[in-house]
Amino acid sequence: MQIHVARPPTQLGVFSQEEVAAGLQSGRFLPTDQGWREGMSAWTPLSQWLEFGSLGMPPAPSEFAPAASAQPMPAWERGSSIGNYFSTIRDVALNPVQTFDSLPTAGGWGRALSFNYLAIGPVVLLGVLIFGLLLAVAGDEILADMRADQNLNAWTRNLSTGAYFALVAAISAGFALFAPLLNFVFSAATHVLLLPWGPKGGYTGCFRANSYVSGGFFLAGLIPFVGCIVLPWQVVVNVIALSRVHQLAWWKVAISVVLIPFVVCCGGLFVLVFDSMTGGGGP
Amino acid sequence: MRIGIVRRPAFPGELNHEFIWPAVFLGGALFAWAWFQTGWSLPPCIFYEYTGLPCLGCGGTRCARQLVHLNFLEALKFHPGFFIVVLSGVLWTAYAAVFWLRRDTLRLRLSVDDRGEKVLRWTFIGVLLVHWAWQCYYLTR
Repeated sequence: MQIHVARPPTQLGVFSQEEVAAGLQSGRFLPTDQGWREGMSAWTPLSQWLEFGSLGMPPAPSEFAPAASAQPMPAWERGSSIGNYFSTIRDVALNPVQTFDSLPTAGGWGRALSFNYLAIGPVVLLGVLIFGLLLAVAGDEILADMRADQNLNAWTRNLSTGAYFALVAAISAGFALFAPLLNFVFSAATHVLLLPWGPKGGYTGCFRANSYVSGGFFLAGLIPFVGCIVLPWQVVVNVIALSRVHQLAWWKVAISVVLIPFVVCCGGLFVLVFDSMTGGGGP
Repeated sequence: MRIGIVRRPAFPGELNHEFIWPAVFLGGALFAWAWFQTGWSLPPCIFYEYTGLPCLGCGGTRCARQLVHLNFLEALKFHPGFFIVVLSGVLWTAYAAVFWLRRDTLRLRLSVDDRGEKVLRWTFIGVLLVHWAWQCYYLTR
């Protein structure tokens, strides 16, 4: 009967009993890996399986030992506090190699996701407040172009300043709630693009790296003039992060997550954003 | 080779697929609907502007617009991939609703061995090529 093996938060695959036994002896699987097969009500560590009890299981490979004893990075992995929050932004932006070398492989989704929410939510709120302030001071001038745009729906053109602010606030709130979840989609695409190189970190590694990088750069990327400097660096950091997490050469990651998306259009959007930030009018 | 569906409990720390993907799908659908209501448009595709050929994402917005108006056949023609993703989102959300209502403990998961994974990878690449060929034909008529 086939055995499902997982090393949380990643599923390693489905194997025969012989393959698992051989894997335990060779070190491919760890005694702490979780196993399940049909008929069982829950996953159980392989070390507790009767079938594998007689095997002389080696201890976890020594390469895991330093990672376990080293201080996990980024700081948000060590706990939720304002200090750790800002340290994480600094770690990700200024020290990506050490940060993503020390990202625990066994971490879950929650910490990276919560960091992403906390990075995006306050910035969006701040943006909405500034926009509201501008509308309050010079709403009619700001909305004049929109009210004259015949391509927009009539109800959009006829919105009062207050209603327009409410619409923008509602869409922004939706964005703040939804954007961190989009990382699940982007990370799936990243993972698929990296698959030909044999990434070690799995889908979870992609998600954690992408979440910390996008969250860490979100505020800086939106600041006018700073954004056009920060955005290319964010791309570089993302490549570094994925290469360290997956133990791949940087150029392999660059081909997969920069070159290929650029060719299939996502890069077009990047050029457009970059162009608008540097004052160009776009194509 | 093994490629199949299995019902199994979640392992400790596993992503809650029954929560995340319905949330992404419903959030995305709501956002798309609100966006189309405003009449705002997306920037043009730069790949298309420079090469005259559609990129892999081209037709996706038109597909979404047709879906919002329930023109399913037109939506399928504009971007079969996006259509299938949305259809999968609907099916998964329906399954997740049943899962939560029944308070089930066994979850639907794809069960693939190493060889099956290779086959799926190459199939995926093949499907992408066929998809792009269709886009080049249909979107440039």
